[in-house]
Amino acid sequence: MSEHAEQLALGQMAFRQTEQFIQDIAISELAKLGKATDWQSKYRIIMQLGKQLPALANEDKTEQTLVRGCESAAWLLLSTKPLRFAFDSEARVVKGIISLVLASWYQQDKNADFLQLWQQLGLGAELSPSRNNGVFAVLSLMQQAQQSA
Amino acid sequence: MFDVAAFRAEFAFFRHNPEWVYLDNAASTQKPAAVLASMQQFYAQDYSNVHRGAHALSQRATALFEQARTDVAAFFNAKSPAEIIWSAGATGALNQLAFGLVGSVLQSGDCVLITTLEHHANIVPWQFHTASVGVELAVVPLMANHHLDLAAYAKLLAEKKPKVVSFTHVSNGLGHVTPIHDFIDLAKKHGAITIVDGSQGASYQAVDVQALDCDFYVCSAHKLYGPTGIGILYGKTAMLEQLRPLCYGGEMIKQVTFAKTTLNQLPYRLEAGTPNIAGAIGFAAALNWLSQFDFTAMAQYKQHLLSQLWHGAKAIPGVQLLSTVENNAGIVSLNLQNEHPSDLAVLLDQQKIAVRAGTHCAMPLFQAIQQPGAVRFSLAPYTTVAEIEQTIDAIAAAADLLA
Repeated sequence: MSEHAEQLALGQMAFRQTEQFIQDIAISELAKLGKATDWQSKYRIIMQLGKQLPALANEDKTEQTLVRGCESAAWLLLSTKPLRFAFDSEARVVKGIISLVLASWYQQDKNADFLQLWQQLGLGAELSPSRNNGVFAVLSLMQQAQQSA
Repeated sequence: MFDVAAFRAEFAFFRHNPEWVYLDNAASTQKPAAVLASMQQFYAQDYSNVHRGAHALSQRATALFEQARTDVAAFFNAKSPAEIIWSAGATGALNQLAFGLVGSVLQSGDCVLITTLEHHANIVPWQFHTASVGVELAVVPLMANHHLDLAAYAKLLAEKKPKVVSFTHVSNGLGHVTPIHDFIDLAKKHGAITIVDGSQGASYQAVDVQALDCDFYVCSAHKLYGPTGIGILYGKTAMLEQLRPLCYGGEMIKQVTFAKTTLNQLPYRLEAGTPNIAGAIGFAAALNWLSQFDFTAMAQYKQHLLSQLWHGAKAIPGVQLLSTVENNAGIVSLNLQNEHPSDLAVLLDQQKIAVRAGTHCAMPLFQAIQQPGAVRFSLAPYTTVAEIEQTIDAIAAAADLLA
């Protein structure tokens, strides 16, 4: 949590935008993902979500919110009380997958494990949790926030 | 005429991974049967440490190890085997060079000239080993076509009077070939020591270090069909003599007392510790194996593949080519307009096309050409025309999915 200082004042708008996007769009796309059989259908959902996710404002993309250790840059805003998230990435695949994991989390127990939710989507096997993987880095930070909430 | 089927048949990897198109050859090439057999035989039948045993087994291992040095020296046409120093790879060799030239050649106020195309291995060692003693680093810029600017290079030589010029033979990020003859000749006119990073160049053309007349040439075995963890630092004898060793201990020493240590002669002086014996034997086996093929025919075939991929990719809407098809050793780097390279790479991975995406350990290059990175397709002579067609279709499918 130390590196990811809570940015409540700046982040309120971003949290609301993200939550609205997950509720309005990502949850229905998650249902479609469950029915998708080939990789094209799955990745079309991921990439379209990645395109539609509202971008973080430039003032929210700071050294403090930057997630280190990714090939593509990613930013994560979080609050622990209550637990809220907002995120952005240069890569659509990262934005799309995080959106789907959050959509899954919204429908479950708030203590559900983010990395497990990712595995359950059937997309974890293709994207190994190597240190270059932005999805892994962002979900790990979200998990830490969850544990300190 | 180059027989791609016969060449490809030498690599068991393709039989074990028939569903994959392997276009990550600039990162590392696959290994032919001859390399695997040589290392297997050494470990199974001839293994012993080198140079220090009193027994005949060690002498046999030493003979095999030194024969490997002789074979590698012959491949690169070095004047003598003692001009070949084993290193852990090109990165190890470049670190030895940057560290080793301090004092004997480089002093505070001197300049080292590199280029915008360099891999981090030819940037960072200079920053850490020489900048701390007050050596300035100057950089040759690119032209609009992402090739090195020869006129700017000539101007920098005259203005900065660098003691050392260190440049890549072939860009690992783009495949662009440096006019190394011009680079070496011009550097000599200005009295600069020349270092060529041959990591990508040694597989592009048969390198003759005497014809090039460079002072140092370095490369890694694993990008040249050999094993990982070994490479060479070639240097002219008089140049190698000037290097201060980066590592100490083992066979590099002649005599040790607590008061004073005398160092061994070349090449051992620069090879501390037990060397990568099997690696050296495997590397020599790779080069001996490679020598049976016609390098010119191989290069022509690769050029044909490159042209096929380049033109095929160019025809796909949204593709932005960063590599030129001319003066290119066999790499196509590209992006999809307004898309991050990692998105294209993920979709290619789904289609079993193995490529690398990102900044390819050449961040300053991508800063210079103002790109977030690139997706890099790197070819080898075992790549087939059908694989290139499959790859072009896969890029088109990815572009369609991202649209």
